[in-house]
Amino acid sequence: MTVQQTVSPLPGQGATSANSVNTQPPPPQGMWSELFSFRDNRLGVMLIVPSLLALILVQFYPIVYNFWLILTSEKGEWIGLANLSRLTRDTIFHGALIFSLKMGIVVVPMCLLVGLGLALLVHSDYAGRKAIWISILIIPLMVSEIVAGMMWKIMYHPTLGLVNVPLAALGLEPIIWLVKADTAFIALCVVEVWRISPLAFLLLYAGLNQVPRDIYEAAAVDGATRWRAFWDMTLPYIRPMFAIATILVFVWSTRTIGTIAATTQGGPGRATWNLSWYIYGMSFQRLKPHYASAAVLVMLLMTYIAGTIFVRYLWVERRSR
Amino acid sequence: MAQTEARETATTETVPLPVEMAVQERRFNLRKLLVVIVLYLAAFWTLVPMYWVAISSIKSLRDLAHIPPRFFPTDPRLDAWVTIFERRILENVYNSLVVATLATIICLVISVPAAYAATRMRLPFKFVAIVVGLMGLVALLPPIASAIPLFLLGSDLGIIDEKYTLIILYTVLNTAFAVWVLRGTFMDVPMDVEEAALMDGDTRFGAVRRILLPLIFPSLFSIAILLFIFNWNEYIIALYFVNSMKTMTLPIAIQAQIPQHELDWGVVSAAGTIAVFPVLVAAFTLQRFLVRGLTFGVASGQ
Repeated sequence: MTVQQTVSPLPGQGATSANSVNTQPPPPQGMWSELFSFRDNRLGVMLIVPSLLALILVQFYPIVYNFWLILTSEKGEWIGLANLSRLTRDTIFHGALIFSLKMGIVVVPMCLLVGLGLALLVHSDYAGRKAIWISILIIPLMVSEIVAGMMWKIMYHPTLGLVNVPLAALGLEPIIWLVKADTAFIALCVVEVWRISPLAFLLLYAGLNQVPRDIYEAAAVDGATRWRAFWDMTLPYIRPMFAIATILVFVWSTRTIGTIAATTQGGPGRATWNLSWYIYGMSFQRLKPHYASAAVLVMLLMTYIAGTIFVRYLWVERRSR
Repeated sequence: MAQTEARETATTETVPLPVEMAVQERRFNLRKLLVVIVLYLAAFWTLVPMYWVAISSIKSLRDLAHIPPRFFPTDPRLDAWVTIFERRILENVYNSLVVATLATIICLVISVPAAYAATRMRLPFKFVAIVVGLMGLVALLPPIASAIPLFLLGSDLGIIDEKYTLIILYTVLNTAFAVWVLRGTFMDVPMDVEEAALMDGDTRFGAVRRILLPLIFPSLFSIAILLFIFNWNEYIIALYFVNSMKTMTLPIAIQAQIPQHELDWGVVSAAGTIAVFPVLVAAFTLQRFLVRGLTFGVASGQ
């Protein structure tokens, strides 16, 4: 309704009202730029400022404050890089860092594989009612970390859980998953794959939607096999999405804390401490926020390095090939 | 048997392009069957933990202790639900609802104008590019990185363990993400219609209210639900900022319920079921928006 009323063009009217407030001579590029001239600069900046303040308050202020925390002791005295050098000798921190990286190495490829497989299946012509499949498959993405951990803790429970049922059916001893270091690692990786692979699925499915359909017809005419079409056409097309998915999955898997809090609490011993859990434990339970901030810096660097590598080698299209 | 069924359904569907058919003619039905089977397995894998938690909450103690565990409860009880309500879970739900809803609304109130300004107004290009770029980057930062400084700031100001602190923090934590997503939504709407309204002498606000907002309303609604779910699930900031029942949100309450005693599993299952319910609703509401938003967002970013 409103759209139809306003379509009839009456040039000049809007422009004059804008001109009357305008303090500068209008730039000569026509109606649109006349309407959106100097007055907009101030209004526009004013509209952005609240968000900018929010950004500064929760993101930049903390990062700057982190540096100050790192350089001072818990009593607030200046100690230079002592926190960082202490961190390099901290075996608990080494364990946590290695655990995070190990988890990333296992979880990222698994999530990408699962995500890509499901994206291809849902994208194929054989999957009817795609909306329902997508809705179901993305549910874990929206489940709280702590709830996901809690669910899987029940699943892994030696008597209540479902995970041991197939093992029992095969005549194997039930595994008490969360009490031994290596099985706890596997168990946590499974939880992470359950939780994060829908993210890879969603991104890669969106990527597949961007691939124009007609190139497949052309390839079929040329006699290309499905596999070759996938390898030479689909993959290059979804490469940007693949890069984004890789970064996000990696970042999500390293920042996880709720699943650990709900399942192992870092145990047995300190076998399942990851970086986030280390930072939380150091800052909140042992009340050493200054020291924990050094670990935050490592985590930020890790995110940054991962982001840079993936953007450089995966996102950027290389035409020299 | 199953194969013939698949063949029958396949014939009723739209006929694929002739070229594709020539390539796939022979294996068509088998492929469809395989795809559907794998999808059902994936759906099972996705849903089974949720199903398991939901039935664990209504199992009787005898069923809970049964080995091997039962896939269907034989003697459903509501004891666990009674217990969880006695433990005042409704207060946690109320806290979560208040915090998540208000944080979502305030976040939209400050991020919609920013996204509008970034897409519709003539601003110094570099300013917009820097602000928007930073906001995109910030979405990658782990929340725990901000948690310690914010916690120290909060304790200096004496505002730990207050609901309004949580609301403020959730609002600002999501702002960068919201502006980033809204910007993509706004860019999808062509400017011609608004331009016409402005030339008709409509005010800028009028053009936004009468033309732009109705056009982006579905996306705005989806973004609101997404933000609500983020807030509903938020865990790390709450871990630092919640000290008492007064502010305890649902994720923290669930953590507190994870039992030391074996027989309390039904109770925490009930709490988990409550927490997951909005998520199920949201997933069905959001899927179209998410796929569309991601498809076009990246396409326009290239």
